[in-house]
Amino acid sequence: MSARPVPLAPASAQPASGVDRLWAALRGPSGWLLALLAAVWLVSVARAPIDSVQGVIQKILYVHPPLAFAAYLGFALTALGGAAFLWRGEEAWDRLARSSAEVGVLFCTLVVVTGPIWAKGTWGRWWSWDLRLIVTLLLWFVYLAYLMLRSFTEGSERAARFAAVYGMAGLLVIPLNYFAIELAGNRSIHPENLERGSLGEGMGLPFALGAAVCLVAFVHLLARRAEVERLRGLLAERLALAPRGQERG
Amino acid sequence: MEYVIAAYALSLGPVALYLAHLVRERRRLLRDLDDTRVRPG
Repeated sequence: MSARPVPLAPASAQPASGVDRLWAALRGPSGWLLALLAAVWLVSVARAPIDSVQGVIQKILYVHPPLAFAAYLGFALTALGGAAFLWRGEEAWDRLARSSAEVGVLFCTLVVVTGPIWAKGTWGRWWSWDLRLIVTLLLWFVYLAYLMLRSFTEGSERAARFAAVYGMAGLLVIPLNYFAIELAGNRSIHPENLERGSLGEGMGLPFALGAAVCLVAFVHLLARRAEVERLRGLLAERLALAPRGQERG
Repeated sequence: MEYVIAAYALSLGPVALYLAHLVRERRRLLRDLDDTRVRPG
């Protein structure tokens, strides 16, 4: 006799909380928008004028700072998710904090990779102990440590609370990173932060598109990462509820 | 020019790989969730 499979509680893999429903709704549209924007961006980078001072290597500008903006957003959301988790105690906020830290670290890694390539082409060396570079490395380490903490303390609510506080404290490094050039004064060899009108003619569009691509890529990856985190939790919950020997159908 | 190509390849490549990893992981989890259903009888 065969019977219709009966799901264990919770009944479905559909998102239950508002935050999870938001990520599920963003996943599809952000993916299509990302593909479209990325194609337009790459064409605009190829057609952008060559800088008269730095030459063609200046085109790294259209990817390096936008990656940093996405990393900043990731760490800001880690702090926000952590604060909301401490306040509301809902797991969905902790999942947001953890997921955005992982995606933020990915983007920060790419900042740390693309920066030295630009440095080698303009300064003639891969690395300089410039304050901006040191603080970027510090920011990367702070959130790498966050991810290590989360992976070593899987499933612990106490660790999640500690990580929430740590994630919020780590946010202090972002303004230090952004204003490092001003703080270092004339000792910094890193180019200054961009201001309105500081880009040459024809350079604004590829830069704006680069920023848009990185932010949409961030949202898309975060939506997918948060869903994976939710499904992992759901699977662990079901396996814990399943009678021994009936974990698999 | 090779530095520019390296910078773009080393930015887009890891993002594409991470995206592919998330897509695969989601499929695997949905399959595993489907397998955890109890089948009476």
